[in-house]
Amino acid sequence: MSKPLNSAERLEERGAMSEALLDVRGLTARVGDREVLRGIDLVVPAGEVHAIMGPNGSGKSSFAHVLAGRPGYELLGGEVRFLGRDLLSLAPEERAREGLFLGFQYPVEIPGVNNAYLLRAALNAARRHRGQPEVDAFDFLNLVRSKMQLMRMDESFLSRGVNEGFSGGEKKRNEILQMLVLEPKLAVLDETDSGLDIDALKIVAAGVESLRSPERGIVLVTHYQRLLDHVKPDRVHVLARGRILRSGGPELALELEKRGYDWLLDEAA
Amino acid sequence: MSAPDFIHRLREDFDAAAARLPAAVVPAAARRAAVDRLVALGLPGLRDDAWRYADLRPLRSAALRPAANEVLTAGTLPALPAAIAGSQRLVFVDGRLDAAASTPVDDTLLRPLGAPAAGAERSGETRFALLNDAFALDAARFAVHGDGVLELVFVASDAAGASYPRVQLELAPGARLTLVERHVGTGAATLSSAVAELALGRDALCRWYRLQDLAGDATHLEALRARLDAGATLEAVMLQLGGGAVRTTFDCDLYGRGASLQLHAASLAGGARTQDGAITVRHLAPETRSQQELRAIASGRAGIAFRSAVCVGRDATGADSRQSLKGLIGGDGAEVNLRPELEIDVDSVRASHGATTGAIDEGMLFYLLSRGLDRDTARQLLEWAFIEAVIGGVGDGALRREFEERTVAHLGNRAALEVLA
Repeated sequence: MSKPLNSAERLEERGAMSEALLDVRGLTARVGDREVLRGIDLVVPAGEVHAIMGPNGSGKSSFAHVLAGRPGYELLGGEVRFLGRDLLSLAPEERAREGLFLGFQYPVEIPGVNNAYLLRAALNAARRHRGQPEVDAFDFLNLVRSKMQLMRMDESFLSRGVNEGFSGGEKKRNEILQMLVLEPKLAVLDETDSGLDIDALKIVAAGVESLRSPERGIVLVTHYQRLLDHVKPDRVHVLARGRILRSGGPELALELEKRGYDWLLDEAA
Repeated sequence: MSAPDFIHRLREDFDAAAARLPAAVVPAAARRAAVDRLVALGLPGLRDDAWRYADLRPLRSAALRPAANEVLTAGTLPALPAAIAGSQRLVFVDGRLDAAASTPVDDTLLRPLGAPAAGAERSGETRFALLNDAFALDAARFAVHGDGVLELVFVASDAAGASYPRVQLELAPGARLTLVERHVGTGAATLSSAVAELALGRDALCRWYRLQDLAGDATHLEALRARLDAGATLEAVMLQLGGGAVRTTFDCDLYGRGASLQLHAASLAGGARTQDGAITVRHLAPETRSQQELRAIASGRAGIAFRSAVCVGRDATGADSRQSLKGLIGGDGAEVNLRPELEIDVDSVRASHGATTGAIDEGMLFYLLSRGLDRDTARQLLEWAFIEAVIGGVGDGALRREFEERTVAHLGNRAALEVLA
């Protein structure tokens, strides 16, 4: 079996660099003394869903957080272009307004700030950035209601504190709700499927699917195949030891499900 | 500050004012005794731990005699919120009842108490209440029966004279009182020394909503005291927003079986202001309960201190006490000092206390930033969220809104204003 081309190579083959929504080259980062990303290369073209899989501690979450600009990571090298812009030079809030969305594996609880306020403030921050008028309370409520229906969330969530007292599944659905309202250009969902029962998984998957469009990219960071049963990825990447070890089509996820990660790690060693 | 100067001024101001100080509020002998006691106690020394965080420098020069104002003209009274439906409202300007701005006293709820025979005991901690004992011009002094709402508004307006708000309420057994107490100023660098004493009879319930929103350079010293008989409940929400130098002492005795205190208090200070709070809760009977939620946000070079002591006495079997003190530091020069203290003299009690102070939670901040909120808005929101837990305890909707808006005004908080919108 010849080694599959990675996304960058595929794009270069098609002579279509301009299509790249996200273009990561040689991204290297550490936390304290530990090098968590050791030269990541990844290209996500618009319109595609990419899955990043890998064993625990492989650097998947670190990669998602570095993309979103979380403090605490020291960048050692590499480059990330998002819609042609140098992503790493932007503050976290600028990345968000440019259209990058991080779905948290562990969404924080913020009692005292209600969900409706956060959603509206976030939406209006993005709209102001794009030179669009802010949405008024009426239009906002209509928009959110329709998205909440899709996520099967009760309207009472709006008046509660951000993630306050939410179950694990409710927190994840709330992340997807935020994503649906903000309509990012690139969504990076960090283990959004973890801790979900099968019904919640289907709801979350339907939310993600509803956002799939030719202009948008989605990166699913996941440990297991099961989310990919509901959201079919265009590409699957295996991230281990801070690097992308293998990239392929959806069949790679199935193979991983069957064989685990060890064979890949052995091959790479 | 030189103590002799202060004592000299105390004696001089008292002698000048004594003739016009009403005996019906505090008997003349008790006033003079208060002056003598304060002279004997003197000012706290620099090494006095109980006063380490209080800023007493304004006492160097402030006039101690009560303000001369008879009444403020209508135009100079600060705008007051609409009265709560069905409430009795008493407005005191520089410690004196302003009848025109007040509602007539309804004696189904409030019955005047007779003049006290003697002055109250004052410890070194509450020594500045002695100023109030000596100089008070008026008092909200009532026995409370039935069920109702009492609003007390104390306006400090006169920088040439001090203001001595004085509240003494005795709730009859089973009485239910919502007590709204506001301290506001007109912008002058005033001095006030307030006293509030609540006695709750058996099974009485008092919801006590206190707001201190004096001018930013006001000096405000206050001594609050509550005594609870069996089955009585005190739910207090206290907001300290204004004042340049504020010192609060709150003593609560739970002396009847099953008496219960819930105290939610928040202090905000910026600039170079100081707020110093000393709380003592004594569990003196079985199955008494106390819960304290204290929050402080200091920014700029401000300093806030909370010392909160819970003493569970020998007779307080089955007592339950919880203290949560949290401080948020919003500037390199700001300081929050939290000192929970617990003293237990009996087995079989439940007591917990915790104190944390720090900067804004980085995880929360990043979450908000990752949603596109700008850094200032995110910080303001988190400050708001931090303090909201206290204000949320205000049961009345309109009043909660007022407290929220006043808090937001102090946070300089556009984001929180939008939250309220």
